[in-house]
Amino acid sequence: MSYLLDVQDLKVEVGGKEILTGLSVQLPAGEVHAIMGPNGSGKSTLSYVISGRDGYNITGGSIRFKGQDISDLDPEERAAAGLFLGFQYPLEIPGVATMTFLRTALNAQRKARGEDELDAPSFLKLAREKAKLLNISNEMLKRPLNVGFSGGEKKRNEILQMALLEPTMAVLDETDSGLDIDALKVVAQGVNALRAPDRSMLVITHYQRLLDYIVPDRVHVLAGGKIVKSGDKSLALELERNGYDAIIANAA
Amino acid sequence: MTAENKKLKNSDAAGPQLVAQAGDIEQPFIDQAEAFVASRVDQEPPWLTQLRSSALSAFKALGFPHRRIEEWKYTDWRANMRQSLNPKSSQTDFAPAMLDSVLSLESIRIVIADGQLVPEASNYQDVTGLSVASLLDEPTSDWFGQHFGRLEAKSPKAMAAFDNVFMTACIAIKVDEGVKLHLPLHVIHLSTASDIHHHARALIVLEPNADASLVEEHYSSAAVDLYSGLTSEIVVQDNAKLRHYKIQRYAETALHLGTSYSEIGAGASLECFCLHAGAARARMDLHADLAGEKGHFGFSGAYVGEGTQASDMTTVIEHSVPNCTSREVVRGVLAGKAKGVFQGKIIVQEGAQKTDGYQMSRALLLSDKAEVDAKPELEIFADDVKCSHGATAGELDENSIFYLRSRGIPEGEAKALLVEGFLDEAVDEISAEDLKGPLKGVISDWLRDHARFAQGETS
Repeated sequence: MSYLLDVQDLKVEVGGKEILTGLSVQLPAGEVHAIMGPNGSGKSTLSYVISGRDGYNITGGSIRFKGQDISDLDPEERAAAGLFLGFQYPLEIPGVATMTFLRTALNAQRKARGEDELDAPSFLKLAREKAKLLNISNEMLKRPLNVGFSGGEKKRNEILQMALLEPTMAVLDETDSGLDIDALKVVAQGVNALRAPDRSMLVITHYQRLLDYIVPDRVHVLAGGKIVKSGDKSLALELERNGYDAIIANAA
Repeated sequence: MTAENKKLKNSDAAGPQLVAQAGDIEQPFIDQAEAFVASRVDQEPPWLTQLRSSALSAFKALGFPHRRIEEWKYTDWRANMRQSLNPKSSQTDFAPAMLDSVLSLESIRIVIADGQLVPEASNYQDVTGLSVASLLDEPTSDWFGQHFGRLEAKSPKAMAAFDNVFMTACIAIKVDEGVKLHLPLHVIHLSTASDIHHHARALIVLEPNADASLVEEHYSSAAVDLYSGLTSEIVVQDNAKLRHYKIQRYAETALHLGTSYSEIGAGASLECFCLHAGAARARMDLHADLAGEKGHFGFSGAYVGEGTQASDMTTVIEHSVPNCTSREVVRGVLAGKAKGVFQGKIIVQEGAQKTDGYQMSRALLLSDKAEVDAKPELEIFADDVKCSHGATAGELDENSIFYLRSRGIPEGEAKALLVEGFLDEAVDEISAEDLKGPLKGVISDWLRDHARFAQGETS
């Protein structure tokens, strides 16, 4: 079986310290997998290394996306190939209007793929349509990117980006952090609306709560830089009941 | 930039004197000035000849300001003047096509080319409530006589005297009491010739409750060596509002010095913006006096520089009476060995209680050889005031670059976007919504023309 994302025995160093110690995870097209793990287990490192951030040194193993090894690609090349990272803490970019940013990003990806760039009116129409579904006002789109946005607004903005860029593989890094229950529901609805047979998602989270709203096909437990246990969605509930320590101890 | 490097070297050779006085560098200009003044005696009214002569005496005594004078320590203007430039007094080589290069604004236009008013390219003539006079070809009016030279006399400066000696145009603008101009004034200073220095004066008076926007644009075609000087006096009377936005985009071989004096009346507001996006050396020397209660002065500055370009914005704000506010925000981005200077002095006079002053300088340094100097100076003689200042200098934020790249924006484009956003925030300080777009357009055009700039390389 060929996987959309195929991470094999991945070892990653950050600043000379090994954070991922042989991590393997495979996502078939159309599936949503959750990665759960305690603080310091390597969750964010995994999301950054998949998206190509500098400073994450791969010392072993491989990351394949659509069958291709992507470890030498720049972040922008991975994005154009269809990878998306939803940030745990979306950056505030003063002076750059959200709309300008969205259009620049979409057109950069289209250009990289050899597609025509969208003109301003068509883009505006598309962005407003997608924004409406996520309760994002036109006024918010005019504001500088994420500046003065609440936690919920920032996360909705991440999902809006995903909706516009239409990636085939999304890694959502602690999308639930900093959200109250109402904001969480809006974000989860946005994510669920994007579930599709040709799109996979890797949902990284510390808590089971998010998985009540984004129900995963598989759950993996990350500890000490590798996946120590995998199962169906009931594994998340088990974690919630017994805590990480029990599961990790059993797996070891 | 090599020609300019040669000219600007050896800045140490000015001599050891501690008191400014005219010397070798000034002498050629003094000789020119004497010939210039003599040549115009027959054509000009006596008061103007008198003004030039006394300005020349003042200039002889002061000389060009240099780095041993405290407020010029980061910008040695005398060193900049070590090149042979001749005064421009004959007709200009203005051609209407040059206006294609300036901002396209629906505006009341006043064109000055090489220091000469070009009435046929201007359209101020029929605007109700607006008076525009050029002292060189019209008799002086009461309001002109009342205000011209008044603010300058309070704090004489060598470079204002230099402009007075050689001025070939004085644009005097008055907006009548209660008149709101619905179109911005667009004063365009063009330089067409090389190896010259040209000078203009401006007097802008807003009578009580008047309201106007003024865009002052300085432009030259590429590859001209010149010095362009402008001294302005701005009087904003009670409850009037003036938005004064300056764009300087001379060729990267030019020298420009703008000196401005302003007086802000009770309940009045003067909001200034200054963009330096050109010239080898440019300085804005601004003096604002908050002279009536509840007046406001705002300044936002933006500058870009690469190679060995240097931009200097130096402001002195005097809070003379209680309950006034001032706000200054300056942002610059520098690559290569470029240099940026912001000096902000706030003087709160005795009795000027409840003063609220704020100033902030932010710089992005795209190369490790670029330099920014920020010097706040507070002189406070009242005891119930709020004054704050701050300065930052740093590189582009790696996290922000990664965020943009992760969305598919290539690294170069991501950096350019961040640089542009950083500078646009200075434009966002202004209140004339309809002029934000054109001003941001100048920044974005400059960045497009300097495609390697955001990568920290000189194009």
